[in-house]
This record gives sequence, C-alpha cells and structure tokens, in this order.
Amino acid sequence: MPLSVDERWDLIDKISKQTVTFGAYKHTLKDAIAELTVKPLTGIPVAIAVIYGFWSFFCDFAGTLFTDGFMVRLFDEHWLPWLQSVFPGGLGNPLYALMVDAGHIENGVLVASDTCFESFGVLTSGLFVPFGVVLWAVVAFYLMFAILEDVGYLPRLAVLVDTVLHKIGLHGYAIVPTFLSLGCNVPGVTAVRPLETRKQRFLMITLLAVFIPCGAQIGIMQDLVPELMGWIFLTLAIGYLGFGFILNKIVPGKSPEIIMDVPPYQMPMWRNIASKLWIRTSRFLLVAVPFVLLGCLIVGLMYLTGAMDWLAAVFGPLLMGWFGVPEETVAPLIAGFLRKDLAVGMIGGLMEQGIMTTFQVFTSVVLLCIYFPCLATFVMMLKEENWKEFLGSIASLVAMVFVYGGLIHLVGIMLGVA
Amino acid sequence: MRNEKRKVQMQSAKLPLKAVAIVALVLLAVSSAVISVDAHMPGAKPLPEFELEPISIYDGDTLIDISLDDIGDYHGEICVCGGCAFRATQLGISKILGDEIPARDDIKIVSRLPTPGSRDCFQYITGTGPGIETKTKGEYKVILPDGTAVVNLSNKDLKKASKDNTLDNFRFEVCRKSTGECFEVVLKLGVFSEDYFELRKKVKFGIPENATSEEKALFKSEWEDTRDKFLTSPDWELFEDVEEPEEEEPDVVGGATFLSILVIGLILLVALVHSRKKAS
Amino acid sequence: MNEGEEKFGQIYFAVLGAVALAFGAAELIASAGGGFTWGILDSSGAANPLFLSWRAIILLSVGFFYLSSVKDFAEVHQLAKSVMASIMIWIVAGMAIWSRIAGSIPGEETWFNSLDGFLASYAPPYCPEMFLLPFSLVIMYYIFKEGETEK
Repeated sequence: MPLSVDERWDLIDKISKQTVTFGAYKHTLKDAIAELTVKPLTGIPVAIAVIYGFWSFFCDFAGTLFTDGFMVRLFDEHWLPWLQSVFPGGLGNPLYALMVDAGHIENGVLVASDTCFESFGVLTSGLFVPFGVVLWAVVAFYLMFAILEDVGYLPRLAVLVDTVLHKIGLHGYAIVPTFLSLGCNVPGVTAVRPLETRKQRFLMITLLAVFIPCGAQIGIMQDLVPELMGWIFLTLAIGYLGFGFILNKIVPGKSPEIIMDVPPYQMPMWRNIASKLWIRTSRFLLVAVPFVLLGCLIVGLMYLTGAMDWLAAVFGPLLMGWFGVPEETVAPLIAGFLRKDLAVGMIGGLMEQGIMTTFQVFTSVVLLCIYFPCLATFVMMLKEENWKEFLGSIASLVAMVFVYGGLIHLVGIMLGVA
Repeated sequence: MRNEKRKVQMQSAKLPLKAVAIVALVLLAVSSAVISVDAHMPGAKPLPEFELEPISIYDGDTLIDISLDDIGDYHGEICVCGGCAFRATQLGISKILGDEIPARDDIKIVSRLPTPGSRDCFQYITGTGPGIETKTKGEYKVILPDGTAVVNLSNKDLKKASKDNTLDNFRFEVCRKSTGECFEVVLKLGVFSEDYFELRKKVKFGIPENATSEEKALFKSEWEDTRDKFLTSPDWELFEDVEEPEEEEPDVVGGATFLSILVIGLILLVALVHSRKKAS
Repeated sequence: MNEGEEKFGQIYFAVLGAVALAFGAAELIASAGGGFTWGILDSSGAANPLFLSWRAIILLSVGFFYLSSVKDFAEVHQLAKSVMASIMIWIVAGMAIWSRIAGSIPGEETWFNSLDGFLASYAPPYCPEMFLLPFSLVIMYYIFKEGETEK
C-alpha cells in the first residue's frame, strides 16, 4: 500500500531520530590553523615565513649543493680544460669557437676562457647552463612547489593576495600562474585558462611574460649576482603591480569573481610529489636544452660573421643612451629571444671581463627579464591568445620595456649610481 | 662554502660605498679632463670594490680620519703610487704605534719614491702639502735609494727623478719623532709584474724607444692590476715583514656535538611521533 | 588539556614569545649594521643581508603569535597561534640546518668534503632560530593532547 505524503514525512522523522545525532560542529586544530593562514593579520607573516623557506631551500639546494658544490668544478675544472685540449682547431678556429671556446680579447691578445660562462661554445656554455645550473634550480623549484600544492597551502595564498590582485584587475587565483611561471613561463601561460574573461587572460599573460623571471633565469641570477637578487625582485614586483594597475585601467572588459575550492590541509603524498616533479622537470628539459644549444650556435655564428658587431654598433647608442647599458649587452639580448638563462649567463661572462658596473649589471638583468619572453613562451602566447590580443600583448610589452627600462635608468641617475 | 657566503655578504654590504666610489670616479673623470692628465692614467678601468680603513691622526687636539678617497681627491685620482703610499703609511703607523692614534706632528716619513702620487699622499697625511688646512705638520722627505735627497718636489722634477724607478724605490720609513722608533715598509717582490718598470720607461719616457700601442695597452692593464692590488690585497701579500694570518682551525668537536644532538633529537622525535600514532 | 597543563603552557609560551621578540628585535637592529656574532649566537645573515631582515620579521611575528596565544590558551583557535608560531620556527631553523647540510657535502678542493671539514660545517655559531627550535618542540605535547580531546 502506498504511503501518503504526510505518512512519508512521519516515517522520515522516525528514521532520522533513530539514526542522526545533531550537534554544533566544533573547530579542530587543523581548521583553526587553516583559518590563521587565510586571515591577513596572521596569514601575511605565515606567507613571509613560507616564502623564506621556499627561497632558502632553493638557494641551498641549487646553488650551494649542486651548482657551486659540484657542477662548477665539473665543468670549469674538468670538462672545459679537457675539451680545450682535445677539440681540434684551437683558439681562433671558427668551429672551435662555435663548439668550445670563442675566447676573448685581453690587452689585444685573444685568450682562452677560464669558465663555462665565458667560453660560450655549444658544448661548454651550451651544456653548463642547462645541466650545470638550470636543472638544479628547476628541480628545487618544482619540488617545493609540489609540496606546497599538495599540503594545500597554495589556494590559501591565493585567498590571501586576493585583495591586492583585485587592484590590478585579477583575483587571488592569479597567484597560481604567477607562482608557476617562476618555475617556467610556459606552464604559467597555460595555467591562465581558468581565468574567466579575455581581459583577465590578456592581463595575466602579458604580466607573466614581462615581469616574471623563470626558474632557470633565477637560478643563473642567483649564481651570478646573489647580492642583487633583492633589488631585482623588488623592481620586478613594482613593475608587475604598477603596470598591472595601468593595464587594468586601459584594457576594456570585465574582471568577474570566481569561486575557488580551498581544500583542508593534509600530509603530502610523496609518490604524488615525485611524479609531478618528474613530469615537470623532464618537460622543462625537453623545451630548454634544444633552445639553449641553438642559442649558443646562433650567437656564436653572429659573432663569427660580424653581425653581432654590426648590431652592437647600431643599437649601442640606444642601449647606452636610453637604458644606460653598454653596447655589448646586444649579444645577451639577442640570445634572450631564445633562452633567458643563457642570456643572463652571457652577462656573467661580460661581468667577468670587467666591462660593466654593478648598476649596469642590475639594469641589464632586469631588462633581460622584461624585454621579451623566451621563444617557447612566445609560441605559447600565440596559442593562447588570438591575433589581436597577441599584437596587443607585444605592443604593451614594447611600451613597458621602454618606459620601465628608461625609468630604472632615470632612478639610477638620480641616485647617482648609473 | 660558508666563507664564500660571508664574502658575498661583505661585498653587498659595500654596495653604497661602491656607489659613492662610482660617483667619485665620474666626478674625477670629468675634472681630470679639465686638469692636466700628466701623471694620470687616462681611460683606466673603474676602481674595484674595496674597503680600507681610514688613517686616524690627531691634528693638535682634533681627531681626523684620512681615507684613500680623500687622497684620491687631493691628487686627482687613486693611482698606483698613491695607493701604495697610503697602505705603507697605514702599516708603518700600526707597526710602531699599534692601535694608538698618532699626532700629525709626531710622524716622519722618509720615502724612496719620487712620484707625484706618493708625494700627494704623504703630504696630505703629514699636512705638508699646499692647500691643506692643518694646525700641525709632520715631516716628509724624499731620499732616493742611492742616498740623494730630492729637494724640489714639483711634478716636473719628480717625474724626471722617477725615470729609473724600480722596486727598490718602493721603500718607506715611517717614524715616530718623539721616540725615534722607525719601521721600514718594504714592498714585496711580485706585487709589480716583472716587466712593469721597463714598460713604464718605454711608455712614459720613450726609453729606449717609444712604446708600441700594444705595449701601451699592456702597461695600462698592468697599471690597473697593480693599483687594484693596493686597494684589495691584505698587508702580508703586499709588504715584507708581515706575517700571514693563520687560518682558523675548523671546530670539529663543536660541529660533531651539534650533529650528534641533531641526529639523536631527530631519532627521538620520530620515535615519539611513531609511538603516539600507534597508541591512538 | 587540564588546568595545570594550560597554566604551564601559558607561562612557557609567554616566556618563549618574549625571547623570540627579543631575538627578532636584535636581528632587526643587526640587519641595519650588517649583522653580529656574539659567542655561539650568530646573526650575520646567510648568503644575503636581505635574509637577515627577512628572518627578523619572521621572528618578531613568531613572538607576537606566541604572546597573543597565551590568553585562553586551551581554546583551539588560541592554541593554533602557538602551533603556527612553532611551525614558523621549524621552517626557518630547518632551512638553517639544511643550509649546513648542503654546505657540508662538497669539499673546497676535492669533490667531497673531508670528515673534519664535514663535521666542522656544523660548528657554532648558530642563528637564533636554532636556539628556539628545541624549546618550540614542546608544542608537540599540546598538539597530541588536542588530538586526544578531538577524538
């Protein structure tokens, strides 16, 4: 016999009385901690501590342990001298210059290089940059990134920075592509997809491509100019927020809210982390290594054919006059189209030859970050944006480089260091 | 590795100093283009980062600090001879007085080096040069290694006397007049490269023949390297009779203690967490 | 937790918080002058002087977290502040230890460090967070206690 509606309700009442117990939900310690990391007053100090941990781990793992501890010795004391002794041709030979060591002029004499930053051959710098420095930086970065992700801290960071990022037309979630881009801009650009409007995606991609240095680049910078890192990041952060604010005002479109899932904190699963680390690092190497080798080859060829000198002569006045960096910076800027890490490495070579002041090193490193995304990111931008947006990105990029680069030079002049 | 870190840190702490140095250098470059560039090295590369204590002396009852930058300003640039003279004076004073601060009129310097750079440095320190405001004066003499005293200290005469300069000229006697104590500062062999003085003769005096452009470039770079040594090397690398400081013994016991505490602590912690988990 | 435990926690973490604040203030002052080393206490900043002021800010926050957790310590939200402060100390001290480990393995002239060199890498002086580390572990007891009551 079928039950009437009322009877059915009565039955439900009866069952639930016997099976369900009611009570107020009491916060557990985990909930309380989760709350602490999201509220700004307590969350910001926690974020400062977490980023400190992130950065110190990165420096000590990549810099102290692997690059300085083993790789510099391997490449500078064993690999480079060995190649210099066995590779046919010797100093001055075009093939030798391309593959091993272009050397540099000291007091009118061509001398061999001492380090793999200086030598600039496909087999020396071309291998040292990706395997000696960048690989370790990327591993360190993605390891920490995966841990933060799995623990559940990243979404909380997003909630925390939501207010600030709203000022530049983005919301908290934007911290995820930004953070990811600090590893490599390519996945960073892909991670922009969850943003809802074209405006937000455009803003995010442009800001990522211009102001976020990738892990490879950071690794090399940390190796070459550790004492300038604070200033470099500060300059980039100011640019990111400042130009984001301006772009948000000019670019038409809406920035709607999105709802984000904030999972509870949990212990990370090591298998999970290991596989993420492996996937990201191997993909990175697949993208990076060919470009670094190609970059070495192209720059080497341009030196050999005299194209580099010509470019240096043409663009030298602009570089010196507007940005305050010497004409030699042309070469790294060209290499930077392919790989930023390689380009910063070339600045290291210039530093070792003593032709740049500290401020010029600083300016050229910042310029390298902002002037153009590397080729891989460039291709990614083409894929993610339509033509109009892409041209818009490039145009705003050029404008930002000139305005910001000039501004840095101006500040340098005013402080009396340029 | 940790030393390296410290070094890096030191360098960065000096950043503002470097900025000051660069500004000073720009000013110098501008001013030296106007003034004569006779004894100077035109187009020399910028100074390296350096950190030298100033020389403190009492001028009457006023305590003054003389830095190498002051001397560079007085002379027109920081050069090889100026840098050397500054370091030599500093060493000499510390050898005879230790940490005590000397009075300007208690210092006497006898230099074997007839060059404008060292003259300006010693005169600035002893307060005997033109255009220096001072209440008291020390003493400064130039006596060549062969014993002849150079009385006229004009640029022209000094330049003439400096033609045959060798390492032998780089000896300076720093004395405390009140007690008669002296210390002779002697430059170490190897601070200057072997061909430095020959090259100098060729480049500056055309003896035995005029220098080729390659030789000029070589001299310029050696000049810069030597100048940088006087700015950055420790005393024991530059001068005789200074002992190399012994390296600190690594603290193995301290390290081992810490490491064992760390390992034991870690084991205890893991055991504790494990037993707790089991209990619950 | 019972009353005795709460009382002890209050006093203990108030003192620890005050010490952390004092260390933090000292580091902040030290960071302006490039750091100091006093006995086995080292506040000279790691690879970068930036780290020193960074650490100082963290230590100051740790101090404030501990102190603000003292009132009504047994309440879970208050206890969480102490737990968070301890975690922050673990992060900084853990990284200081990691930095020693990373520096102790490669040698100066050789591929790997000698045993003496390896051990000496762990020699004093240590940064303030390392001294706070063992004392901050007391929070583990309260975390376990809280876990039991939650069950």
